[in-house]
Amino acid sequence: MKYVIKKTGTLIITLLIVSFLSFFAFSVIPGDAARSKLGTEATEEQVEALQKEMGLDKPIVVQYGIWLKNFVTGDMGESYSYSMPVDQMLKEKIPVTITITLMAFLMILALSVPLGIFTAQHEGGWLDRILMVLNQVAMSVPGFLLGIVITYVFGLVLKWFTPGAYVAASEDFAGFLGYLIAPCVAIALPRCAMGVKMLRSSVISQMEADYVRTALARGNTKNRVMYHHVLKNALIPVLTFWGMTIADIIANSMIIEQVFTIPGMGSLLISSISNRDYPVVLGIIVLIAALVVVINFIVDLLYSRIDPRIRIRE
Amino acid sequence: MSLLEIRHLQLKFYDTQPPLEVVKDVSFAMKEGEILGIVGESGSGKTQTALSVLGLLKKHEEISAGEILFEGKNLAEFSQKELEAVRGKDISMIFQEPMTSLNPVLPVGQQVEEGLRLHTSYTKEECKKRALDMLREVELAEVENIYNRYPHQLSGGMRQRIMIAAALVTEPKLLIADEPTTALDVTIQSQILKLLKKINEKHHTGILFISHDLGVIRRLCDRVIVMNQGKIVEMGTVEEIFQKPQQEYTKKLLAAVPTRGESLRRRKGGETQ
Amino acid sequence: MKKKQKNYNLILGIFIALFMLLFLLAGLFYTPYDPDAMNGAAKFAAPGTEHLFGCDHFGRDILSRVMKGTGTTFFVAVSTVVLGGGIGILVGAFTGYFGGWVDEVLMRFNDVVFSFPHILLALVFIGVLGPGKYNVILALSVVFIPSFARITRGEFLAQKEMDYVKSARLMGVSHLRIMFVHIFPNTLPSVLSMAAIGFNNAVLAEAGMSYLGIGVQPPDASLGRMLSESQTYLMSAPWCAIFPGLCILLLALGFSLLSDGLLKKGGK
Repeated sequence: MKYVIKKTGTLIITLLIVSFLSFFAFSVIPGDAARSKLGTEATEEQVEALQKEMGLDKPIVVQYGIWLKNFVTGDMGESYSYSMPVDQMLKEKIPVTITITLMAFLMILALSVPLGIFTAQHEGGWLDRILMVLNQVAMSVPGFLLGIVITYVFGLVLKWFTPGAYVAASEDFAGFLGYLIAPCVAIALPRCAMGVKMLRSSVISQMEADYVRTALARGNTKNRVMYHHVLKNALIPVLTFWGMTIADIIANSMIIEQVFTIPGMGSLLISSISNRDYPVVLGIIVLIAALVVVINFIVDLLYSRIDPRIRIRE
Repeated sequence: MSLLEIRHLQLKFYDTQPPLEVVKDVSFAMKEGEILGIVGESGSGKTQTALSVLGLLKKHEEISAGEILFEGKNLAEFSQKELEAVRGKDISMIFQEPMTSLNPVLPVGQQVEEGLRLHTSYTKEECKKRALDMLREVELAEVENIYNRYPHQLSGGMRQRIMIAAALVTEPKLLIADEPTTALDVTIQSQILKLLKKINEKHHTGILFISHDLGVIRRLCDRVIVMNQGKIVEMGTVEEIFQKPQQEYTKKLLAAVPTRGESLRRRKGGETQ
Repeated sequence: MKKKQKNYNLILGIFIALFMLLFLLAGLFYTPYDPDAMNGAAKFAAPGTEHLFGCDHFGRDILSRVMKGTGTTFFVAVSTVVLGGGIGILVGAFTGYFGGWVDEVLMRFNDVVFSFPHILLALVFIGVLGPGKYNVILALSVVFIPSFARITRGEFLAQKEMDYVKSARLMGVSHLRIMFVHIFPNTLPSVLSMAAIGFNNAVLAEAGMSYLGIGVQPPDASLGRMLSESQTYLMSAPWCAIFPGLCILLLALGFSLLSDGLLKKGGK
């Protein structure tokens, strides 16, 4: 319980630091927000008036406080390019990105755990070798390249899906999920390859451990040793990797959405970066950062569930 | 019939070219309820000999010749499945590092009763009851509490008691102990030795005790085998070996033992963290 | 274990990396065509003897563009590793060797940064700095500093307790000399492997950002941008995508094998 409280404290502090840094970066470096909003023809008076209106004359910490208060209540400011509240713009995009993230993550789990265990059990065998070579290649393919390959092979040649024919979830939920399969595979495959490699080496190193010999000496079958003894130990280092994987999926989905023309947060982020639409960029970045921090928090808690050495400190 | 008889055992490591002969033509026998010590320096092949009894050698290590007869049955010819039925039921084993030899993420109680779960048809409750009895027998206090603890929460001596409890819960006829006291400090060491002796007397459990420490062997064993470079150098009762050693190697080994209390190896009981 | 296993990863990694290096070096001095020259007649020319890798939608020779583009990618990745790696190693060396509260603060900060995916952080920086080749280098360098610092710090922490460091200190060797003449060579296996990983990540990140149009800007040829342009003509002219894609894959694969091989060689 103490552990949870301590971790929650760290979570809040991290969230504050991360959001402040992002806010700071976006309010200092791009130059004067008021000026860029008004354009080059604005007079000094106009600029100053707008600065006051936007609260830009106040110290940065005060500005941050105001922004944070607004952000927490769901007010993320207004887009420069669309004169529309940022939260309105994000509302439909967030579920799309979250669906992609969950789908890709589930694919990674479903594929990498059995393959990781299998290759570890057959270390050095021919199937293991072939899989490890494929793995090494899959690890090096950038997701968007894989996306293009998938579009070509499965979309254009085999016609299993129609590239660009995205359907909104509100119109046709099954069709929406169906369309997301290809982009999720593109995101999942390289990460899955890394997951296989991690779990494989983790299992292999655990199988060398003394307690495995003890378990065998007790009359356990090799399979029982794997599932009752080794796996739980082997998963401990992999858990961190999975946490990072979720963050990575979100990051990669920013690019993959572009490949498959999916109107998620990624497409919005990229177009906002190109248009220098800072409130939108800041909103998305802070949102994603918060998500990453929260995921790390959850991983930490899971960690302590699976590894008693962390949970109980005497 | 002997409890365990090893005949012309030969072990090879196949990860080198040519294969390395680690154990060369080793033969000995032990009776029921006997405590037999194997003493030798590291690399003498004593641990490999012990591991081969239960077929626990690594992939590249193999029995190349010889027989391992347990109650007349040749374990060297047993299939994996047949070996699994013997391991932890008729023959149990304990190891040197009680910290790493226990699974760090399972409560120790589960590890103690696992032998029963594997080899008997007792219910969950019966298994737990027997495990608790066993924990009491290895002289642990507050066993209900310890049952749910994890290895890292216990001291080195307690962990080794857990290992012993887990090994003996199925009442095996033979216990193979591979340097079980080496990682412990001297006072704990002597407690563990007393415990093993007590169990041997009470249950008539045969103990094959492997150690590099002649002092420990002398206190515990009935008979001793001295091994060097994969061969048996000398074999005899504790009195014979310690009073009238016949071989040069044995004499040298005895000469190297510090007299009592002088500079016994002191190591903190496996506290690795 | 005496078992001698050939380090295939290292060998193959070096081979692929060298091959790509030769390919782009050749591109510096010679390309079959001017990479930017448009030739209406050769629009979407299929690969053949005239144009080995074919031509794109403007009739530009893909082989020439791929050679230039690989050069650009390589330049960005190398600059990133040198800049980010250099600073990261310095930070890691000093914090690891001297410790203290600076170390504490920096490492806490590092932990926070480290938990974010590289590409996302790079996107943030690009968001702030704006697109462009040099901004990509800057962004990626900043993003890579923590991982280099972390690895180097760990190595220095371990090495400074070694006897050879203590005896050097007793002999009056200066701290700086101990750090960079005595300790640093010992950290090379992990630092080199990290550099290979960093290079790999930089290639992927640059390609990704250029693909999105916020990385390397025209007129610089870029593999990522070629891919994004090729996507419209994927069905009719797949070669526009195949060759730049293959180059990215080879670069990334070569260096990921290299880092693997180096790690294995370092005995970890």
